[in-house]
Amino acid sequence: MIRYALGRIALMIPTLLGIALITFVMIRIVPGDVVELKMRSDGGRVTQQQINDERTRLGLDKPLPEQFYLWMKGLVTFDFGNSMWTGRPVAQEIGGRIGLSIQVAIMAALVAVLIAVPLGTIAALFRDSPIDYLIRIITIAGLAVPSFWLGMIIILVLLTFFKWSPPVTYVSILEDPVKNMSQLIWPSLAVGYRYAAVVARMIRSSIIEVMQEDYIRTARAKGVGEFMVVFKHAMRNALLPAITIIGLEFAFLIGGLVVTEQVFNLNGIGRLFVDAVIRNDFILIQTIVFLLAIIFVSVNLVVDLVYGFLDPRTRM
Amino acid sequence: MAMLTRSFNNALLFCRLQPLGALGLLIIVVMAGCAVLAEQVTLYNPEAVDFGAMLSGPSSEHPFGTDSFGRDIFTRIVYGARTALTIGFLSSMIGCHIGAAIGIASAYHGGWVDLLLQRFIDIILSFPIVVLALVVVAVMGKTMVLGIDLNLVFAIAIPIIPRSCRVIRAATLSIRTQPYVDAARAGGYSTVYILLRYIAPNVIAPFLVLLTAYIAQAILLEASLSFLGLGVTEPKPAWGLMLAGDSANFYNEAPWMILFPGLAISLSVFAFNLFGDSLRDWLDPKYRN
Amino acid sequence: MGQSTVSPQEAQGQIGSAAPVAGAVPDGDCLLSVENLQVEFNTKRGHFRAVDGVSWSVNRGETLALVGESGCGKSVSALSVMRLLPRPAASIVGGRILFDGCDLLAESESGMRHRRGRDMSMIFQDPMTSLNPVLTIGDQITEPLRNHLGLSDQQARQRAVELLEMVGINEMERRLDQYPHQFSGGMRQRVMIAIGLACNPRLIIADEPTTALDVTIQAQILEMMRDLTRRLGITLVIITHNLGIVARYADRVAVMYAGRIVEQGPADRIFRAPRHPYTRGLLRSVPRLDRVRGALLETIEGYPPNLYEKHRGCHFAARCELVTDLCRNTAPSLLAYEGHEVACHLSDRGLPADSKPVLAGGERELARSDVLLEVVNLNKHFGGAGKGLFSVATALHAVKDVSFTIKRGETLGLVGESGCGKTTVGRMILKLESASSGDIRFDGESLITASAARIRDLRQRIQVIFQDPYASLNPRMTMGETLLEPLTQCLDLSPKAAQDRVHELIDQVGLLRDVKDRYPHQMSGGQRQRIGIARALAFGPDLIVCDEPVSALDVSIQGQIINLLAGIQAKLGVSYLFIAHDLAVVRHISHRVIVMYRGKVVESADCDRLYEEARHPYTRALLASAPVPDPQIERARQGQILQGEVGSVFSSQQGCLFANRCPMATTECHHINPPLEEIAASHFAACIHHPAVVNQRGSAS
Repeated sequence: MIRYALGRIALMIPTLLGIALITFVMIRIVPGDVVELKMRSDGGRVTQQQINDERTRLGLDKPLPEQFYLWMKGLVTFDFGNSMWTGRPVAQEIGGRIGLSIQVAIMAALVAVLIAVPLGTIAALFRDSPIDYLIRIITIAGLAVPSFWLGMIIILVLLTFFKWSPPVTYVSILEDPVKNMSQLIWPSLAVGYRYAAVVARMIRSSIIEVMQEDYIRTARAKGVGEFMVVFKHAMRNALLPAITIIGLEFAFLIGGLVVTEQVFNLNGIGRLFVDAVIRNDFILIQTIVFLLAIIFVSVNLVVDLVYGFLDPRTRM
Repeated sequence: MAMLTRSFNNALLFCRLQPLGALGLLIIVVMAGCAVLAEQVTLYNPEAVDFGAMLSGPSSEHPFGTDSFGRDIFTRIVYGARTALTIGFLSSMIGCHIGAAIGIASAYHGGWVDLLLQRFIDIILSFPIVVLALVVVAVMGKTMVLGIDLNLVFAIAIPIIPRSCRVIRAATLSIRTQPYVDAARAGGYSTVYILLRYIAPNVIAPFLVLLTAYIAQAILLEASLSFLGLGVTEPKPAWGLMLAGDSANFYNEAPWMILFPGLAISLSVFAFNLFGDSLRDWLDPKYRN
Repeated sequence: MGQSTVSPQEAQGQIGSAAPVAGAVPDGDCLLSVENLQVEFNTKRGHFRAVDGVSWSVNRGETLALVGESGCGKSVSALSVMRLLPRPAASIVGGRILFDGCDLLAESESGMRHRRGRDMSMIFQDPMTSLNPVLTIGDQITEPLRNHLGLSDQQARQRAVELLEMVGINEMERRLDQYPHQFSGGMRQRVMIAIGLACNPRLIIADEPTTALDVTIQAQILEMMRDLTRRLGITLVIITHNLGIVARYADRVAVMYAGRIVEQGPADRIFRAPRHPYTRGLLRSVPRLDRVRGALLETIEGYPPNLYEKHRGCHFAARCELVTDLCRNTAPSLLAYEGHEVACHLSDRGLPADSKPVLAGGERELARSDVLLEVVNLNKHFGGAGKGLFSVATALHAVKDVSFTIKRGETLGLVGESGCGKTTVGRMILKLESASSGDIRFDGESLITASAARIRDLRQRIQVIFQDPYASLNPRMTMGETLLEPLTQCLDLSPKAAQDRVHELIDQVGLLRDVKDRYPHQMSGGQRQRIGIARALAFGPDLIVCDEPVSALDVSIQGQIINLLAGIQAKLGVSYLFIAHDLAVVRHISHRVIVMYRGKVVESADCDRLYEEARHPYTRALLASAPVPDPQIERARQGQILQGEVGSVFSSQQGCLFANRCPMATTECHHINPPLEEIAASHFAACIHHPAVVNQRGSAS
């Protein structure tokens, strides 16, 4: 198990390097030049001299390998450079906002898994019954409803029926848990719906498949009761593939968050990213993209380790 | 003629065995019909501003109401279907085809090419779809062709490529080891012939399912980008765009501005997912018998 | 199924099965009796009656074998006893199942649950999938003990240790905490038996318990099951298609065909004097180890009926040589004759003497001419490159220095258990796998050094037939397209000539020409395999690699395919490399036989000589492990079972690879790598004790 974990962690190093390289290349593929694009799009008259100065300031006049080396060095020392828009250090911009986004993501994932497991199990056990059809429709809808629109509908419902709207200023959960939750629970729900739907569908099909395995028949032939057949013999086998999906779908969660933060006026990392894209703040873009990819990879590492722990075949 | 009767019988059987899928297909057909015949099914110009009818609620003249510019929402939704389906279909086609080609080649070639390619794909997969699309939008800007922003199509297609590649590669790998492929290899047929005659027809099933699923994804993604103001731009009608900007300022005054475009997005994605799901069951011999 | 709407044929069935109820259970010692059982399946394709008025019974302490080919309803009737039929697809629509006088079909679900695993246990076919992969072996064995007997964890564990010892698993304490993936297939089946024995049940039903295992492991498991059930007084129902197993282990036999019992009675009687034409045909179509091979096997022509369609009359009528109009229209009843029961209209008259002369003797003449294929010191390593940073590189040496030749028109049998490398040898000859070292010379030309263009030409002359006839056909091509492809792609025939050739090929493999427009899923296994043969023939090959071509087929179909292959060889002079695990099948078709063990050739000889004068202890063990379909021979024969299991192919072991299992092994064997020596004219064996093997044999007989 420890060897397995070490192996997985070691495999992350080339992945992280690859992510950094691809992020770096993507930003530099820009037709023309980042600085030119940004300064021209800001409007107003820009002289070639100003562009050149800006380039030098950002180190963009250096050869590409050197730029990459400097960027990597910066990443390791948490010096990501300064925002091209506000001029403040990127680390500072991100640091102030990431807590909120992480909290929403974790809450969304928790809510989703808590809803998805029972929902998927019930649908599988009552396969092709009305309740199964209902759950299937709810989950297919979960894939269809865009999270940002769901967020708008939540606000609309709160406004129309409760004459109340969630607070717009962020308070840390340590400071005022009630106010914090009353603000962040709604985006978590909006983003988590899709997540719950995907996981529930996976669990449903996985349980249906497992219930047809030979070892389930063996358990029944031993005189094991149906309840134990499901919860002892089928459940753990069925959860294994679902766990993988929980990790992979995390990418969607992050994506959903980027858009949904706009709806709730949350000053999180998603909002920062969209603003950076709108303002062509490439230093900020490259750092956030790299960061989000790392978060995704780390979540999947954890999921892999959990999987490895739960499955005796990889535990050795 | 025999072919026609057979496909007709197949279609009937599909409707009988997969009623939900048939429902999805019906919604898709109606929507596509509306998109093609937008001029015929609507009464207004989607971009015509009418300040006299600003923010009016659903009525017989404006079944879904009007927006803050007095534009008819129903009309804009119908024209929006044109935008959504065009971009969704194009992006999914481009993304899935490129992905499938890479996937088949990678699986069939095997060895270090496959290994490197899959590592690369793994890394690309670490970037969330929306994030990747936004970066592409940011670096590529706009290229309009026939009223369609080609770069937007690419921005949506690019995140689809690695995902399609993975699925098709896995399907190819499992077919590659089938004895009938061995029999073809033992027959001395060329690699290209085996790929075309043996591998491709047998990955068609997962490919079709993928294509449908990613049309849904692409519609969703286009709506998200437009909502953020980075996809389709005013005054062109697009569902995501209709939810963006000042529509959020009118929660109390004009909830229909939020309700109907979102329903349109959900319904179309729902239909494609429903159809895709049933298609998968239908094409899977395991489920069929 | 309402009683009021009984169709004539159902009524027939009921009358038919009414007879044994009165006649077959004379003594009150009957533990289980299935009476007029009817099971229906509802599927998307329609519904059919998988078990149609079946009655059988088994006495206390007795072993009953339910015999029949796939789809005959033998497993379904056994699952009905346990009430474990797949729901909602299957439902029992009629009959009674009396267990110790109590009707199980009237039992409540919770009542059944208390019986399962306590009064009756079941052992399934595939040990690889029958154990839960995420629970420890100990947990799975103790579960029924805790559930049914209320034992504490401590007590249950103690009992589990006893049980493992009983089924021959060592280091019990340590093994209890392991997971199924740490056990081999044979070991897993032992664990399944331990689970079955846990609560001292009165009845064990074993559904094809050894079909998924190698023949030496099969012998271990079956001998152990017989000893244990006898010792503990457990009644055993074995479901099998293998008539050798029936002959060796069963007291009584019930033969099923297409959902009905055709014949049942004491094993001796059924084997000595079968009264039903199907039973007789089945017994005669089995290739046998204990008889001199004939030129052709006897077969039962045709295919089993499609149960989705309604059949009046006897289900076997369409394939029966003795069929009359009565058979076609009325289902025969099961009636008692001289101690056993038969469902055949002709049985009161007795079967006529063999309608066909026994096809015996006749060595197929082989023009011992030139060598077609020569394999020299062939080796194959798999893997070796470590995956990931922390894994140790392990190479699998699948084929070790294998050499042999095949002459024109000759059949070389390649025998061995799973994982011995026989399939890999075939794949290297087909160039589907590249050789690690050694040479393959085809018609004097090396396949290893030949250019790619030359290989493409040569490939048409070396063709292949696979084990799984369904998987070996492209599911998206019709049979016509499949056969046309080689003709147009490789042989450049004109469309007209190609069409004619397709018809000729279809005729040649004994199919009707209308199969041209069918897809693989529209045909039966036997038909698909015929198309597989036709495709190979389309290229006009000199050599066909037959990789287990009949092992996926039922006995009665097996014979048809083997005869077809032999006929084609006689007519076209094509050579076969016939790869199989079934020694009897290989004996029947081969001129020469090679035996492989863990990647090495251990013995090779002319066919008859090998079966009569085997010198390698492994070959002898293989021959001794496979029971023959004759109760008298089997009763007389001592169980000579080979202990242990095939070791890991990854371990690089010194000395003879068979030494750890060999009954004759000495310390020398563990150090000396025995060379393959010619011990008699064209008879090779790799054993340093081969003269002793003869002595042992001499003293034994």
